[in-house]
Amino acid sequence: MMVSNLEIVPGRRVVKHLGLVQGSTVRAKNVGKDLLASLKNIVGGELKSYTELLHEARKEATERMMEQAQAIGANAILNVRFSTSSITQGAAELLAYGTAVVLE
Amino acid sequence: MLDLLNIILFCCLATVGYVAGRFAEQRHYRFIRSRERELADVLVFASRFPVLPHADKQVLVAGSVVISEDYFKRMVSGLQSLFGGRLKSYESLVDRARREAVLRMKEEARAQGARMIFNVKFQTFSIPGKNRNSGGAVEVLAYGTGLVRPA
Amino acid sequence: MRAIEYSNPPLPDGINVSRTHPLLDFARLVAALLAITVIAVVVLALVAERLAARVPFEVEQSLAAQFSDQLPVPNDISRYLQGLADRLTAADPLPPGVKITVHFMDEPTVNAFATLGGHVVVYRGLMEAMPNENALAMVLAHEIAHVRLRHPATSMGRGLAVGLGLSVISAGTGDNLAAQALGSAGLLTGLSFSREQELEADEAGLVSLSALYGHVQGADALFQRMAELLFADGYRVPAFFSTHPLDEERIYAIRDLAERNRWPTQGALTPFPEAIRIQLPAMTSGEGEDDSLSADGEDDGVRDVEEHGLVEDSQAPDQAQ
Repeated sequence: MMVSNLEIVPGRRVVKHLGLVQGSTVRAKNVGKDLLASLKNIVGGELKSYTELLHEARKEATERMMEQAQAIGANAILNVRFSTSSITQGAAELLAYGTAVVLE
Repeated sequence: MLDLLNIILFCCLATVGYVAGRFAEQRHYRFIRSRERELADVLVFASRFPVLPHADKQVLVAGSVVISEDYFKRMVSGLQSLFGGRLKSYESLVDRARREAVLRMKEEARAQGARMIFNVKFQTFSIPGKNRNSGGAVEVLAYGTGLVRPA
Repeated sequence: MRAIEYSNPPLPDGINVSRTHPLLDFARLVAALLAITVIAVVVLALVAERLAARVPFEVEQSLAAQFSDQLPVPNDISRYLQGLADRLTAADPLPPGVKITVHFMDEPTVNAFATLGGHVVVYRGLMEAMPNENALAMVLAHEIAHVRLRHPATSMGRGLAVGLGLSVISAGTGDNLAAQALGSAGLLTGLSFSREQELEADEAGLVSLSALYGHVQGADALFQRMAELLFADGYRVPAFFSTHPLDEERIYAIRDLAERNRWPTQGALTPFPEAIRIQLPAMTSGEGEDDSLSADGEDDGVRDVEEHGLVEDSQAPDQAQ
């Protein structure tokens, strides 16, 4: 399953556009990482635990999007966009959406 | 004594939140599914370059909804945030909100005579409650360009 | 150009939404959290107790010196109590460096407690409720045993550690009511240590009592009296929620201990000295093994005896016997 940010696929033709597919996940941080992060606030620098958390969330959202695309018979997802937002104290939603297409 | 009262209040709120919340959620999902079937002929795509033989009129259409969390969901999210991981109680909340927003966008498109919506984008906002104990809400905005075939 | 097909096939549910029932999810979370709380409280309490017992007694005393100005000034009654305490520690010596200072609090509460630095406080209400000197000696022996076993220090250390742990967990949940519910759960598990400590102090107190008098009847009398008073008030706190075990439990424990050590459970009971009875007219006459109410037939511990206030040089106060 090809996942692409582009509108077109150079060299290949889109046969069918199958519509909007979305994958989203809501993840909570955990209190241990929170404490470490607040310590990191003093010295500054990359919050590796959060980076990893969001990386995993992104992977899961993308996987769900691909699952939806597969369920309707697509073989590629084009024009993928991500959107992150914080839902409640301590949780964030990551949404990945794009157009499922059938490439020839 | 105060502790006992607090525990009782907490249990009551959680129960009411759970029962009412579940009921509202199931009802909303049924409503969503029926409208999705009904609006299935308005097509939505995230693509930006539609290849269509006609020169269509373009209209910007959008749909948004604000859905509030219930006490049970908030409590479960509080507990889950101790351990981390997937917040299942909120996933249904944002899913509902997104689907509702898309449906409202489709309704607006249909009202304008558009049958296809391209370049659909989402914006999700969280509206926090006034203090830690009062509820917050999630707003989802879905917008895109509808193509109206000239008569 | 071949036409590109545009369509929207229906999407399946359940990909972005989980299928597990929310109550099941919730139950699992709660179970995990309770397990962790209980384990954390138990571990923290054990660690804190071990550490606190290592704190030298001098440190305790210097901590106690900070609130020593809140303790009442010595008077005849507190000197009598100190004398009784000294006799107990003479019969059953304390570890080196540990000192007991007894204070008398002129209030109708029926209570006595031991705190940091070897300070023991006895309330007037308790003294008036005692049938004889042996029972009072048991109270003192029990409180002295708390000091001997370093219970004030360990209980304070435990309380601090558990409070700290629970506040971390509560801050994590980010929800006031949930945090308070958690707090209560932690308190319940924390209290059971105090019950153990009370039973330990009973045992050690019995040892002192029998060392002084040669028998332990005073202890029996004490607990039967306390049980009576509780019933008279009509207020019975379920054992789990109170920091002191129920009195029947203690009576059986004491009889059991006495049997195992072969201490005589009957013996001569010492009445209170005349000088003290004059100062506390609500006290019983103190003769015999009688557990009934005081000689003047009035309820102990509830009377307002302010007009019989204690002065250092009390001159013939109103004798209500």
